[in-house]
This record gives sequence, structure tokens and C-alpha cells, in this order.
Amino acid sequence: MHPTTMKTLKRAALASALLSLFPASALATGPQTTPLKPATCTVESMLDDVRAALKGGSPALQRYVKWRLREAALAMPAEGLQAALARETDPAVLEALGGALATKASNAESPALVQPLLARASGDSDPAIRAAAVRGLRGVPSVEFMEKNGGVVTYEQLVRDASPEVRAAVADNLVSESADVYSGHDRRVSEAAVATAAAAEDPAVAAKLLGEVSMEAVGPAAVEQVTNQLRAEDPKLRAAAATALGGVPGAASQGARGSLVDLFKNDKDPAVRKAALQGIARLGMSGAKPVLESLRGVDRAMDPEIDAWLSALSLNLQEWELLLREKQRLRR
Amino acid sequence: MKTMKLTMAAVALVAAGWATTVAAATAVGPICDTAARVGSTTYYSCSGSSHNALDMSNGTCSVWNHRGMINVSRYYGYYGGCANNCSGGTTCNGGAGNYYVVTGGSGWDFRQLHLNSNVSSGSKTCDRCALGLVGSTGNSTGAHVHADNRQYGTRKTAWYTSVGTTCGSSAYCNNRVGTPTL
Repeated sequence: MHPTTMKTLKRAALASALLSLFPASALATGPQTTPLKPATCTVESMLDDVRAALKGGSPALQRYVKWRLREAALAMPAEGLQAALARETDPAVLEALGGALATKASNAESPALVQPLLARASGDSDPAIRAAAVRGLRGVPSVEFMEKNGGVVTYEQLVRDASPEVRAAVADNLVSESADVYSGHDRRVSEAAVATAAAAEDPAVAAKLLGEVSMEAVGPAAVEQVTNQLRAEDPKLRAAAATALGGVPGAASQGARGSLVDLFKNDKDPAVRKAALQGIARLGMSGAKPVLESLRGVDRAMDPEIDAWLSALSLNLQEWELLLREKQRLRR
Repeated sequence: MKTMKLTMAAVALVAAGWATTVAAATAVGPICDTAARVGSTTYYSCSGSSHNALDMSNGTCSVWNHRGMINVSRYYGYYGGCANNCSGGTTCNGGAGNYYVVTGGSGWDFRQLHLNSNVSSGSKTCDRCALGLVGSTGNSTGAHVHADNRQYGTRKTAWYTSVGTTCGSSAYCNNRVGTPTL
């Protein structure tokens, strides 16, 4: 057989095999029946996609459309995004739109862009919308944005919202901002978290803020505010304040250690005492051993906890996360 | 069974409030010009001595913005004071020239070096914003962006090798060039 004929036959066989992989219905509705049409990329058309995906799409599709909106927003005119945000009534779509606008503000270093989002967060009559607007500010320098917009809307104000969903969103934002935007190193965000915890009437929210936001860069006034929370009525808040005091800067460590020792001796709640020991261990690392030894016998039930810390500290681990993991391996 | 036990242990750690302080970020190219390319990776000029970082350029100097590479909002600490330059060869800031550092946890950081300063330059928190101009301040031979990911001062390479970035890869600002640890 001629080589060219052989090649043609092989190609025909390959094409036939490929065609057999497609169901007949797929071929019937191929490109001839649904020709591609040019589409205009507008805020409204992208929001339609977001709306449809958030209603019935898979989690992956939902993440994708939100990500696509954020990226597209970088190149879209801000006015269109702001106008869409001002009239949006679906909380999930508003959160996605708010996130896109906040990302644009961060990229363009233009905090004023988030003003409509702040207005919805503080002034909307629907608590679900207020919470969604707060969540829209997650992952951007929102504390700085609020300051640069004149401090008209602050987390201290938002945390007193009547809706628990809004209050929870406030705590989540500050925890996320401290960890994800600043890796815990930013004084302004940490102090905003302490002030917000002090303003909160919801002890669970205050406890989350103090227990999860890094305190490594706070100043003396914030340390004092945290210390005051050791006298809170709610034991979970007292325990969170003890955890927070364990992470304050070295300059404040002596006073913090004294406060935690007093807390361990006087507070009867086991979870609070446990948190006090953790704070003492974190402040002193291997240097905390004599203090921990001196606390043996104050509460016999707590002695195994002290022993676990002493065992972990004897390894002389140099990083707090490693020490905490070792202690938790020994005793939870 | 073993997988189940491991999963349970991980859940218990999270429930106890322990979580690692470092995570993988995504870094995109620093120059919004499709001509931008990676010129050095683990070795200088791809065949020379050890470098363990990315050098990226589009062949221009003091024209294009040198942008933040982490594709979420992060704090960029600025270390300036070097006179703008297109040929390099100075020891300003220990050879780093004008540069930015994103500081993560557990000793990790991500740096962008050698930029020429302009009105955009200064410490700031932003998402892929303009940080200055692509330049050649410090110990540099021609305008480029040097990016490295270090732990306790030691440069690591997995952040770009793991995503296949190599000599000639695009350094365009919409292209992922690595996943640094922060």
C-alpha cells in the first residue's frame, strides 16, 4: 500500500475512534446549533453569573465566580461596582461584590472606594446585609481603611450591633486581618482588636478577639485593657485574656506574668487556671520553670498540667508553636 | 484506619486552638508587561553560581512599575535611601538597593529588591500595588526585579520550582511564578 494512502486510513480510523467517544446527543447540539456570540463584560453580567453560581453551583464554581469578579474588578470602573453594591439586596452577592470592591481599593491604594460598603455595614436595616458587608472587608487592610475614611465607621461601633451575625463577622475580620494580612506583626490591628473586645457586650466575641488575635506588637495601654479583662464575669473571656497576656511584648512581660500568677492563685475556674499556666509558659519559655514550680500545690488538680508544661519546657524548644504542640501532645 | 486516626488527631489539634502560623501564599510576576521574563533562578543567568531566587526583567529601566507580587493584601515594609540607578554595582543597603520585605511567621519573609524609587515607594499594605519602578539599585547588573523567599535569612527554592517557574518563564503580573511561604 502506498504510504500516503496508509497514513490517510490511519487518520480516518483515529477520527472514527475519537467520534465514538462522544455521545450522539453531544454531537447533535454541537457548535452548529449554538454558535458562540460575543458578550460584553459588564458588572451586571458578571453579577448574574455570581448570582446563578451562588444559588445552585458547586462550591468550586462559587469560589471561581467570586475570584473572577475580584480579578475583573481591578480593571473595572469603580463607579459601576459602587452603584451595584448600593442597590444589591442578596447578602451572598453583596459579600462577593464587597470583596471585589475592597480588593480594588487595596490594589489602587484608594480607601475611599469602600465607603459604600462601610455604609451598608453600619446602616442597612437588614442584619444579613450588614453582616455580609462586614465580611466583604475580610482580607484587606480594613482597620486602616476605616481610619482613612475618617473613623466614621469602626469595628468598636460594629461590634455593638444587635445582630450576632454582624458581631461574629467583626471578630472573624480582625482575626483574619491580623493573621493573614500582617502575620500577627501589626500593632494597629492588634490594638483595634483589644479596643473592640473592650467595647463588645458579647463575651463570646470578646473572647474570640483576645484569644485569637496576635498581641506581639501591642502597646502598654492595650496590655492594661487586656489585664482588666482578667476580672470579666465570663470565665471564657477571662481565659482568653490570660491567653492574650501570654503573647504581649517583652517590655510588658514582667507585669503580665505577675497578673497571670495572681489569676492562677485566685481564680477557681479550671479553664482559666489552665490558660494562666499557658500564658506564664509562653512569656518565659524555659525561664518560666521556677514560676511554674512555685505554683505546684495551689490546686492539686492542676499539678499534672504544670508537670506537662515543665516536661515540654525541658526540651528547650525555641519556637512557641513547637512548644505548644509538644505540651498538647503530652496533655491536652 | 490509620488515615482516620490522623484525621482525628488533626481535628483535635485545631479544636485545641493550635494552628501553624505560616501558610503558602501565591506570588505573581512583578511587571505588567507581557514581555517580562525570568532571567535567573537557582543559578545566576541560569548557568552561573548559586542564586536561589528569581530575577525578572522586561529589558527596560525606570519605565514600568515594580509591583507587589503577593496576590492578596499584605504589608510591604520599605527599605529605601538608594539613588536611582540603571546599571547597579553599588553596596547600598548591603547590595539589596531599595527593597521591600513581606514578613511572615516562624522566620519566613518574601523580598523584592533593586527597585528605583518614585512617589509610590514607602511602607504600605496593599494587593499587587505599585511599589516603585523596575530599576537596578544595589548590587545589580541591569534593571530587574529580584524576588526571594527566606527562612531565618536562608533563601529557599521550592516556592518557584514547585510551580515549574524556570529560565524564560513569563514574569507578567497575571502569571503565577511561585507559592512562597509566609
